[in-house]
Amino acid sequence: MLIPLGILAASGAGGPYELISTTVLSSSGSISLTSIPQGYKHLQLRVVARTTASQVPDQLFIRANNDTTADRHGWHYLNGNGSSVTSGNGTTNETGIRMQMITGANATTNSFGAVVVDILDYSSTTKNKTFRSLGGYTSASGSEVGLSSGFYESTNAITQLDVFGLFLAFAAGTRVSLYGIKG
Amino acid sequence: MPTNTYLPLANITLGTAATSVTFSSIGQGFRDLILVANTGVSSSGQAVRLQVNNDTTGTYNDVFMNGNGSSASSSYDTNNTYIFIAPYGFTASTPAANIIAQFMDYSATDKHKPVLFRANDAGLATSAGAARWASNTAISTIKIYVATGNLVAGSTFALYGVSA
Repeated sequence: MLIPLGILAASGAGGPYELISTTVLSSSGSISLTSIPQGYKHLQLRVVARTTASQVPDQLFIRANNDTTADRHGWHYLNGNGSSVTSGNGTTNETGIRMQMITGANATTNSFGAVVVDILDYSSTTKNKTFRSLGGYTSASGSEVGLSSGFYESTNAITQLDVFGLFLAFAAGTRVSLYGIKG
Repeated sequence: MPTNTYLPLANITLGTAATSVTFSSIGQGFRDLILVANTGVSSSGQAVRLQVNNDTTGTYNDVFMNGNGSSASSSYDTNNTYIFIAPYGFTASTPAANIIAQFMDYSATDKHKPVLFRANDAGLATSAGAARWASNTAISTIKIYVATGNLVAGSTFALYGVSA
């Protein structure tokens, strides 16, 4: 059953899901999302990323409010690499959250990892902040998929998100989009 | 200025069982696509598969992790002729499983196409996967199918565009 498309898109009037910003890197670097508007209930990051690290995988690393205080961030993961399922965490001296696997410079050419991150109640001033993600990559020399949860121990509203490769800078072509979800 | 971004593109409901459903001529004006499916398969043990742009060559790669209530496992495929978007056979006479697949940067012409998905059947298993179509061509067609048997009557498939 074929369904032709192209003219069926709604006009977009109304709806709870709004694009705040999209950044596509034309050269290597990191991405800092500042002055995040506070009028939404939750945020979502949609990321397609590759780094310059000389290895196959790298990891998406996120820091809230430029806060480098040790032990303010924490994370857990559940990952499958095609052979086994593993779990781990970082809860001590963390200065950011590892939010799943992306590709490094030694991954197959033109292959990028993808991660979707939900940040719940980001603007609350009475709650610590919860992150969750689904992400992964495939490459000729390894593949991995995983679910992660993250924690930012602060009742400050999140107004800034810094997005990095854990080991090295993002490569050109990396894209980070931020969406606001109304509540 | 924020803009509304999560737009319904098309819906398919199977009035009768079918071996496949296809979304074609997908508009290129979005950043990502999201497929939401509620389905079952009529033939025992069959997994739900996906191809794009009518590409039946060995350009697909995927990796999964699954939990069936007793154990967790992980598997992968390289240079395959399709992607498994639901690796467990969701055998059911009526739709009993849901699948959400996210096609990231689907219209890009300078990178391979990553896909993330979740598949769940409360009576069988839950799974998460990542995949890649090894082509820099923009995705314009998505086919969901089973190799044996049918997608059951009552199955629904919805495609959404997420704006750039």
